[in-house]
Parts: sequence; structure tokens; C-alpha cells
Amino acid sequence: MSRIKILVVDDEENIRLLYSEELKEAGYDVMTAKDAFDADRKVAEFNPDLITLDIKMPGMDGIEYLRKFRENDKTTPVVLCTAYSDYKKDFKIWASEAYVVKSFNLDQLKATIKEVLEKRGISDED
Amino acid sequence: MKVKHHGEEFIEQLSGISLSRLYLQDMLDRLTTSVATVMESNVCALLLLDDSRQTLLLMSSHGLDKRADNTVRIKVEQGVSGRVVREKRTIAVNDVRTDPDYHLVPETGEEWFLSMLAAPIMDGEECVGVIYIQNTDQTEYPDSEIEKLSSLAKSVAGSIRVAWRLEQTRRKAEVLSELNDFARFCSSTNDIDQITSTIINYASKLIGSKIEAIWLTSDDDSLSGSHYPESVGDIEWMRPIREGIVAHSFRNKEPVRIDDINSETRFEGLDRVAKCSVLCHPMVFHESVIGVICVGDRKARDGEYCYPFSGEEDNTLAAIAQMSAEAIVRAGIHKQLAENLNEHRRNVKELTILFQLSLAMQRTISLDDLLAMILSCVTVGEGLGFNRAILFLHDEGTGVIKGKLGLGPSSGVEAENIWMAASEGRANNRADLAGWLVKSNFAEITKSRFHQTAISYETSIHSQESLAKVLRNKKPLNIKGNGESSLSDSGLTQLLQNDQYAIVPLIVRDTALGAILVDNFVTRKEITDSDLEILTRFAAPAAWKIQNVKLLEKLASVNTELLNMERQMARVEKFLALGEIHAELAHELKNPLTSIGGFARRLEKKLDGGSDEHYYSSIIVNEVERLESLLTNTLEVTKEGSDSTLQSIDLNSVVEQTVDLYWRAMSEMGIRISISLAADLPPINADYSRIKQVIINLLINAMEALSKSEEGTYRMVEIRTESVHDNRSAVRFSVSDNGGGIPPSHIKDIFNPYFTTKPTGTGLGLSLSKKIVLLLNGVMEIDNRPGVGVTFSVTLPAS
Repeated sequence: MSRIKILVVDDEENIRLLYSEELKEAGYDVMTAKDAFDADRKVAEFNPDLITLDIKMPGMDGIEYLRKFRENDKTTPVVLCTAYSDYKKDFKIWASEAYVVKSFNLDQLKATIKEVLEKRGISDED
Repeated sequence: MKVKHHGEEFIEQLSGISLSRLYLQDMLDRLTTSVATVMESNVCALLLLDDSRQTLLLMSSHGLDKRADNTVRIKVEQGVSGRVVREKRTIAVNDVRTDPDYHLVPETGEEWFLSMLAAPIMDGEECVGVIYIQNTDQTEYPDSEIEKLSSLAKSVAGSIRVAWRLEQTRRKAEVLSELNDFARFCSSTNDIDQITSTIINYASKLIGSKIEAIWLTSDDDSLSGSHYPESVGDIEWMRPIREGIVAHSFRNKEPVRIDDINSETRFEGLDRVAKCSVLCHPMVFHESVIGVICVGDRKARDGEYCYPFSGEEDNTLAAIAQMSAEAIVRAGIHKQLAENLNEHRRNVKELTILFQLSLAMQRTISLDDLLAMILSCVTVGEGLGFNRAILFLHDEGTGVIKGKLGLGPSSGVEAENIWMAASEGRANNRADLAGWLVKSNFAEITKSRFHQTAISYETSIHSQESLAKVLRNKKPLNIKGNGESSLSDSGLTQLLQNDQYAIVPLIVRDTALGAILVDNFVTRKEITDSDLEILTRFAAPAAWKIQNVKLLEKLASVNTELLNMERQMARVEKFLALGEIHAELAHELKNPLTSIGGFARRLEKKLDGGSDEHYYSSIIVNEVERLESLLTNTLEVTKEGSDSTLQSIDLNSVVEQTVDLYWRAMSEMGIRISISLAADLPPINADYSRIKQVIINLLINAMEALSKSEEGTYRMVEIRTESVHDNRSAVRFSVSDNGGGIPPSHIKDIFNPYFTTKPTGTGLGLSLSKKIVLLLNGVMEIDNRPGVGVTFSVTLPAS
């Protein structure tokens, strides 16, 4: 039985650490990437079941990366993390499965991940 | 018949006559008497040819009616005398009744005489006259008698000729003197009627006609009778003459002389103005004919007889015609000059008034003052001087024409009082008019009774009232009235109690703004066309100025609106500028805050529930929670309005849905909720979630205010929606509470970001709400009753 693999993409090291600790605690395999290029490499290496993607990043931002990512991978769910609540009106994020407003309280993020995975029928038993 | 010899005696007498310095008439009278005696005949008569050589004039007679002397004229084609002239020989007629040449001249009473002996009076080869004798019985004159008269005629010819010439010269001098008087008179007056009647008088006096007349050219180049004697009185004289003698003379620029109109055949449609003779002369000035002067029927001494005119008379009339032409032309030019001068004076007056009015009008931008000035200028004596005036304005939106200002007395007594009062401080001359007009006082004018009458009048632009017609036709109207018409004819007539008035429209670019009505109610002076013309010219600049002032007033109100909007915009911009800084800051804060809070939570979870460390961690978590909420709100505040999506929204349903969310919470707090929703609310164009947020903010504010009131007190929140019909259609919703209101010292700060009195508040709720409302072009108002409660109301434009 292999665990569900989640790739956390965020330019802030502390955020990566926080997400990774919390998600590991929630029972996932977690790997992190510090930017879009790093994320590309980690996806190839790690083949995650789900990606959490920060929007505001130096270099290629999250939305741009998502568009590029979807050119090759149509299925892996991506959860966008935004600082604003109104990104949902931006058609560009339709390519993501869901989005959450960033908060120090990760309960919302974890609930969303769970929901997305269940919807996709992805579970530990895979 | 007996033949007597008085040869020597006669010669003696004759030389006495010719040598004496007698006038021609005396000389000839003596001569005819002497000849009659010498010839032992009943009658002796002497005729002389006039200048024309066509007419013989009876100069003197013995044994005939003396009244015929100097009157009877015989043409050289007529009678025995005429034949003597033509044939230059002595002719004897035994019985005139059998002679085909005989021409009876009844005035002389010669019908009693049957025989006649006539001899020519020769001047060299030329015959200048005839001397004849007549006897009552049939006489066959012997050769000796014939010889005797012939030699008598020859011997007196020289004396007669000299005396005749002398007489002619004397008479010519007399005529010249008269003509000189005439010329002097003509140059002493410019009155054309006086000139023509003088011409007639002189013509009659110098020519001895029975009838005199003058025709002058009219503007259309036809002739019309300008003067004729009363005795004629025939309407023919006044008609334009297109054919006949007068027209011939006029057209051909030549005189016409007719000795006997009854045998005249040269002219068609012969003027029936004279019985026998006519003289007609064109009046020519610088080659152009300005008229015709005509005399008719040479007077006999008395009775009904008339004769041809003599050559001298023809010449005299020619001279009169020439002088008359000059006098008439000069008088015409004078009249034209005088008219021009008058017009010039009128123009100067008009220009001065217009100039003074425009000076005065420049000094005001108030419509009321302007209208007062205009009417003052229309009614003041130094201005246009009408008794009363009303200014009407036309509302293009409603099509109603209304009296706006009336200036003038409503009775004669009032007029006197007003004028007495007004003359104090009145402009002394027209140059001070502007200064006086500027002092026109709208408020003062509106106190008058006439003003009250004026503003009571109102009609539709489409009505049949004369005022409406003037505005529709854009043409002035002068209603002269007839002084007797019933006053119910027109609303205006009734209003003015006067049926004589004039209306001039106020037109700017083909639009009738209104009209000025004037009348002379007190003086009853007629409004002339020239008065109306001045008023019309006056109305043009007045209309422009009214239009300008109206535009200025509109501009001022638009300007105020703009200023308000600008102030509102400045507020929005302040928010936005503030917001941009906040957005940067908030974003930078978000990530560290997430780390701090996230790890604090992890600590909290990992630490023992009762430890101090756990408690400290929970403090960090709570504080971060507050900070994060502040940051989220900050980021919301800074969102551009354009990011939101506007859609048509039913405010009632937003209110209902939002209140639903808080129903339970409020009920638990013991708050009584009252909702009243207007049924006919128009939709608004807004962002659903933003509007919801505003309502939530207001509800939370109310709840927080009520939470401070003591437990168990009556707590109430009232939510209302309603339609507003102000300048534009709008909707309003309000949230009221009885939570004690806002302390007055806080009122000015409540909409400032980060101002809060609540221990856990961010201070962004109201400022955010206000910003949302502003971005939707709405207004948020506050009705604060300290100690009682507060009502926030939001008004938004309907879509």
C-alpha cells in the first residue's frame, strides 16, 4: 500500500515546511518545489497524485505554470492557493481543480484536498 | 353813300396821335375813332397779329362793344380780316351775309353791320394787322374810299408798329418782373404743395387761362394729377393720364399747343379738360421730365367765350414750366434729405439705447435682474418710452408661455405716482441710461399690481392667442384694435384692458425664447410701425443676453454638481491610493503571518493542554487570526470596482437572503427584527456579493451596538427598502438599531479605515461599505441619535 503523493509548490521556505509538516501529519507523502522549474523536475521524479500551487511566485507565477502543466497532464488535480478570494472569477484558474485562500489555519486546505481526491476516486489503496 | 373829305384835318389829328407819348391803347382808341369819323362809317376796328403770326387780336374798336377789345381773337385762316392778312390787300364786302369768308364775332355785337371794308397794316413786306370799317347798310365802297382806307392804313402803320413794339416790350417787362417774383417765391419754400399752388396762381395771372393743372411723375413713372382748380373738380384730373395731350407732352418731352380742341385730331383719347384751347408744357429738369403743366381756355373778358393762347403766353408758360421743374425737384430733394435726417436721428437714438442697454446688461448674470433691465429700458422715456411692458418666457419642455415680469402702472393715477417717483434719480439724458438701468430692481417691480396681472397670464404655444401666434410665426405683431371691440376677444386684451398693443418675439437661433409685449395704456399714443421696428431691433440683443444668462445659470448648477462629484472622486481616489500601499503591504505580510500562525498552531497542538507554553501559543494563534482577518479585509478594500461584475439585482432578495444568515444569531441576542420591503422596487446594477457585504457590515454593526446594551433591554433592528424619486430613480435600504447611537465625537471618524471602537474590530467594515457604495454611484448616509440609536441608509441608482 503506497500513500497518496502531494507536491507542494511555494516560493516561501517556511510555508513549504508548514504545508509539508501538516500534510504529512494528515497521512500524505509530501514533496516540495520552490518554483515552477523545480516543480517540473519534481513532477517527473515524484509523479504526484495532487499538486498545491502558490500563485504569487517569482519567475513563472502559479497560473502561468498551471497552463503549461496542463499541456502535458490533463488529469492530475491541482489546488491553487491564493492570497485573494476573488481569483475564482479569473477564467485562468478554471484549469485547477479547486482553490483555497491562504491561511495559517490549514484546515480548509486539508478539507479541500480530501474532497478533490475523493471526487477523483484517488485513495491510499491505489 | 356819301363821301366826305376831311383830308387835312385827319392828317393833323394823325400826326398829333403818333407824336404824343400815349400808351398804345389810347393811341389806337383815338385812331379808330378818327378813322370812323373820317370814313363816315359806323364802325372802325383794328386788329394786330400776335407773336405767333397766327392770331389776330382785336386791339381797339369804335362803334362795337368795347368789352371785346383786347379779348377777341381771330385766326388768320378765318374771316375777311384773315384773308386781308393772307392776301396783303384791301378787301371790300358789300354784304357780309353773302361772303363765304365772313366770320361772325358775336361778342362785338357786329351782327348789325352788313358792309365791310378792310385794309392791311403793312410793315415793309410784312402784314402786321388789319384795320376795317363797317356800315349797317349794304354799301358798295367806291374806289376812292378803298384807296382812302388803304392810304390811311399805310400812313399809320409806322406809328402803330413803334407803339406796338413799345407796348410789347413793356408787357414783356411786366411778365419778366412777375416771373422774377415767381422764381423768388419758388426758392423761398420747400413745401411742395405751396409750390404747386403758387405755380397755378402765377400761370393764371400771367397767361389768362380759365383752367390750370399740374401732373407729376409718381414712383412707377406714370403721371398723376397733383393740382387742379376747384372749379374743375373733375375726377379725371386726378387719374394717372396714360394717353391724350398731357401724356403726349410728357412722353415726347415737347409742348403742345391747341387753339381749338373741338377741331383737334392729333391726339387719341383727347383730354376733356378744356372747352377750346390748351397749352401744355413738360417740366424738364436735367433732361428728364418730372411732370407736365397745362393751362386751358384763354379767358375772354367775360362770358363763356374762350380763345386761343398767344405766342407770348406760350413762352411765358415755358418759362414757368422751367422754373417750376427746378423748384419741384429741389423741394423733392429737400423732403428726401429731411426724411434721411429724421431717419438718421432715429438711428442714432436707437443705437444709443441699444448701446446703453448692452452696457447695462453686461453688468449682470442674474436672469431676474436682466429681465428687470430690459423692461425698464422698454418703458423709460429715455429708452423706448412705452407705457407698459410684459416679458413672457416660453418653456420648451412644456410648451407653456407664461408672464414672467410686468412693468407699468395699472391705472392713470398709479402712472403719475410711479413717474413722479421714478423721475427722482432718473437719468438726465440718454448717456446715463446704462447707469440708471443697472439700478432696476426686480424685487421692487414684482410688488406692483400690474406685475401680478402679468404673471397670471399663461397660454400654450399651440393656442390661438395672439401671443402664441407671434412665437410660432417668429414675427412681430402690432394690434391696432378699434377701440370698440368687446374685451372678450382675446385673453391679452382682457388682461391689459386695452385692445391696442404690440408683441415682439425674443428669438435666438430660430428658437422663440419668449416675447415682449408693450402698450400705451395711459397716453393712448398709437404704436407706429417705426416704434415696432425699434422694439424688434431691441429684442434681438435682449434675447441673446437672456439666452446667455440662462446658459450661465445652467452652467452654475452643472458646476456645483461637478464640484460635488469631484469631491466624491477625491475621496474614492484617496481610498484607492491608500489601498495600493495596503495591498503591497498586506501581501508581504500574508506569507510570514501564515508561517507564524501555522507553526503556532502546530505548537499549540503539540504542547500539553494545561501548560503555560500551550497558553502562550494560543495567544499567538488568536492574534494571528485577528491580523489575518485584518489583512483579508484590507485586500478586499483595495480591490478595484471594475473587478466586480455588475448585474441587475433585486435589492429585496439580497436583503432577505442576507438577513436570513443572521436571523438566528440576532434572535439569540434577543433582537427583534422588523423588515419592510417596498413592493415596487426597480432593479439596481450592482455586484451581488458586494451589496451583500455592505448589508452584512451594517447588520454586524447594529448587532455589536446592541450587544453593548444591557441584557434584557428591548433590542430592535429595523431593515427597510424603498423607491426614491429624486432627480433620478433610485432605491434605498436602511438598517436602524436602538443601540444608543454613536457618540458625537466619533461621528467624523466612522468612515475612516482602521477606525474602530470595538476591541476585536478591524475598523474596515464601514469604510469598506462606504467605498462599495461610492463605486456604485450611491450615497451612504447616517442618521445618528445619540442615546437612542442610529440609522444607516444607502441610496443606489436604479438601473
